[in-house]
Amino acid sequence: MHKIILIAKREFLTRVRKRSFIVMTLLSPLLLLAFYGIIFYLNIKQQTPDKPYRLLVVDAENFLKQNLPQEKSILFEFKLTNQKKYEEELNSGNYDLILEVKKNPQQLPEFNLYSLDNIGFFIKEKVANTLTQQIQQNKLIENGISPELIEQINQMATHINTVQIKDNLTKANHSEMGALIGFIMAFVIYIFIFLYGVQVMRGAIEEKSSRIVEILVSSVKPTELMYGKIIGIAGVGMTQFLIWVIVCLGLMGPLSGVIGQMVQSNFESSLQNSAQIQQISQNIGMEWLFELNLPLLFSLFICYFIGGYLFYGALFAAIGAAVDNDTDTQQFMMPITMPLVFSLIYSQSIIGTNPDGFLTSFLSMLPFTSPVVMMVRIPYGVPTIELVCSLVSLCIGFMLSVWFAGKIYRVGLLSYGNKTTYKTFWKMFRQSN
Amino acid sequence: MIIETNNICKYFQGKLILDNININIPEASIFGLLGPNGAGKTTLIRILTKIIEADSGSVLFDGKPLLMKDVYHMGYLPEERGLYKKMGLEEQLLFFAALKNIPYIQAKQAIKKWALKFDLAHLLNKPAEELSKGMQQKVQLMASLIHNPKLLILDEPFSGFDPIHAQLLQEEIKSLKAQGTSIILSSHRMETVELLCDHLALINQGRVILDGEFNQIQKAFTKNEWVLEYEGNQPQNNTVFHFEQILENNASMLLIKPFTTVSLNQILAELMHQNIAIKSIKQHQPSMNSIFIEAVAQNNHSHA
Repeated sequence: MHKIILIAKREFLTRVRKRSFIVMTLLSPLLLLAFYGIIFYLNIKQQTPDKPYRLLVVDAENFLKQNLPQEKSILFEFKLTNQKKYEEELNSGNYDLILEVKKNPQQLPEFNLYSLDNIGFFIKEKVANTLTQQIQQNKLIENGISPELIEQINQMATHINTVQIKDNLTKANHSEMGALIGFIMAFVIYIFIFLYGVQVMRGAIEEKSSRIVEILVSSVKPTELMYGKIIGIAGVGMTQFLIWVIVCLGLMGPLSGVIGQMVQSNFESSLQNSAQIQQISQNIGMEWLFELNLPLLFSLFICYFIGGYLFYGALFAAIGAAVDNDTDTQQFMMPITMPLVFSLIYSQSIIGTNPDGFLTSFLSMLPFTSPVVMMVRIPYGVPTIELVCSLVSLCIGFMLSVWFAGKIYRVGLLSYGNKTTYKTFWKMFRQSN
Repeated sequence: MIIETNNICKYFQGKLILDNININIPEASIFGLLGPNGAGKTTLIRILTKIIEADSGSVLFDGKPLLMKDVYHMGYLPEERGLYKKMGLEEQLLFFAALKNIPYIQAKQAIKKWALKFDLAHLLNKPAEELSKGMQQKVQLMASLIHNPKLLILDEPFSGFDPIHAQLLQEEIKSLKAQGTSIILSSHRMETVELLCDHLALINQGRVILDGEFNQIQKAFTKNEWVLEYEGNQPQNNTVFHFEQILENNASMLLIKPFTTVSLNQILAELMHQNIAIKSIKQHQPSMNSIFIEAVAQNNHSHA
C-alpha cells in the first residue's frame, strides 16, 4: 500500500506541476464558456439587429388592410400600388426588404420577400409569423369576433404539470430538467474516462519505452505500479474537476444574471405575451432543482465517476503495458471506446423516450455502459434494486478489469519488440498465471 | 554465500530458457555472469531480483530462502535503462530510494555523497532529458547504489561510458567490494571481467557450462604454450615446435606451440641450439576472451 501511495504521489505531482496542467485547467472552462457565449451572442444578435429592418409591403389589393403589428426588429410600410421596380427601390437604400403580396385565385395570396442580400432564417420566420398572426386575426374579426375576445384568447397558454403516482403518493415530476442535469453529469463522466484513461495508457507506454520500468520493477510489483498510476491520475482528474466546479460556481453568479437578462429580453420580443412569459419563467425557475434528491444524485455521480474510471482506466493500462509505442494502441482502443461512445449516443435518446425500457435497464447494469446510461436515468427515479444491482455489477466489473489488467501488466511491461496482437494479450494473460 | 541457486528452471512459451542453474556467489566478491547474447543471463537476474519467479528450483539469499524484503538489499542496474525525462534528477533518485524504503534524510545524504563522487552535484535539479547519455548513465548507477545494497547487480555497466568514466567505475566497483558489497557483473567486456572478477559462471543455451574461481578456470584452460620474447635472429622451423606472432606490430614476441608433449627444457634446448637471444619466456595464460570463445564453441559443438 505504501508503494502504491508513493507511485500515485509521483504521478499526481509530476502532472499537476506541469505548466500545461495549470494553463489547461484554468483556460478550458473559459474557452468553453467563451465558445458558447459567442454562439449565444451571435444567435441573439441575429434575432435583434442594431437597426430595425425597413420593410416595404407592396399590397396592391390591400389584402392586409395596411395593418401589421409593429415589431422591434421590423418596421413595416405599406404601398398599395403595383410597381415592379423592386431592385431600384432596394438600391436607393430606403428599404432593406420588400414584401410582395400577390393575389392568388384560391385562398391565401402568395408572399414574395425581396432583398439585395441573403435573407436570414430568423428574419424570414419573423415575417412569416407576423403575417400568419395578422391574417388569422383579420379572419376572426371578419367573422364577427370582437378584438377584445381575440386578445383574451391570445393570453391563454397551457402548461402541463407532470405528476407521478406511486405507492399512493403523488409527486410533481420535473424530469426534463433533471434529465438534463443527469445528462451533463453523464457527459462529464464520459469525458473524464476518455481524457484520463488515455493518460494512464500513455503513462504506461512512457515507462515502458523509456525502460524506466526495468529499474522500477526491482522494487515494486507491476500491479502496484498500475494501481499507483491509476489512482494518481484519478487524483489529477479530481483536482481539475474540483477547480472547474469552483470556477464555475464563482462565475455562475454574475453570468447567470447576464444570461437571464438576455433570455428575458429575447422572449419578450418574440412572444409579446406576458402570460406566456410568466409561465416560461416559472418553468425555468429553480424549484425543480430542490425536488430532485441532490445528495443522492451527487453521491451516485461520484460512485459512477470513480467506478467507471477505474473500470476503463485498468483496461487502458493493460493496453499501455502490452504495446511498445503509441501508434500500436489504435486497434486496441477501438473496442474499448466503442461501448463508451455508444452509451453516450444512446443516453441522448433516453431523455426523450421511455427511461425504463428493457434495453435501457440492461445497459445500465453493464459496467461498460452503466456509468453513462444510469447517470441519465437517475433523475427520473430508478428502483433501488436496479441501482444496487448496477453498482454491484460495476464494482465486480472493475475488480475483474483490474485483475485482468494486472496480469497483462506483469508480463507486458517487460516484453519488448513483439508485434502486439489480440493473441499476445491472451498469451500474456495465460503466462502470468 | 550471498546467493545460492538450486536447480533453477524457467520455461518461456514452452521453451526451456534456464536449465538446472546451480551457482554460488560468495560474499564480498565480484562474480562475473557471462554468456553469449540470449543465453538467459537477464532471465536469471530477473529471478534473483524476484521480478519473475522460477518455474522450479530455489534461491537462497544469505543462506535463507529469498524473500521480497531481501530484494530491498539489492541494487540492480538493468541493461536496458531509462529515467523519467521531465523529472529532476534528485527528485527521481529520491523517488527510487523511497520505493526501497530508504528514509528521506538518509537518501538525501547518499545522493549528495554519490553526486560528488560522480561529479553530478551541480546537475541535480536538471531534468534528465537535458543530460548527455553518459551523465544519465551515472544517475542510473546512483539509483542502484543509494540504498547501500548488500548485493549489487550490474548488467553491462560500462556501455555508454568513455574510458575515463569506465576507469572511475572500475575503481568504484573494487572499492565497493573492499567495503563488503557482493557484486554480480554481467558484461561482454572480457578484459574488464578478467581484471575485476574473482568468480565467474558462463551460461550458454540456458546451462552453466563453466563455473568457479577465475584463477582455477584459467588454470584449467592453460595449455602447453609459451610466450617468447627475443632479440636478433628469428627462430627457424624445427621438429620440436611451431610458432606464431602474437602482436601484428611486434615481431619480437612469439607464441610457441610444441608439436608433442615436450617439456620447457626441450623447447629451450632447441632455441639455444638455434642460437636465439632469449629475453624472457613464460607460460601462456589464456585470456578470458579466448576461454569464453573456446568454451562456448565446445559446448555448441557437443550439442550439435
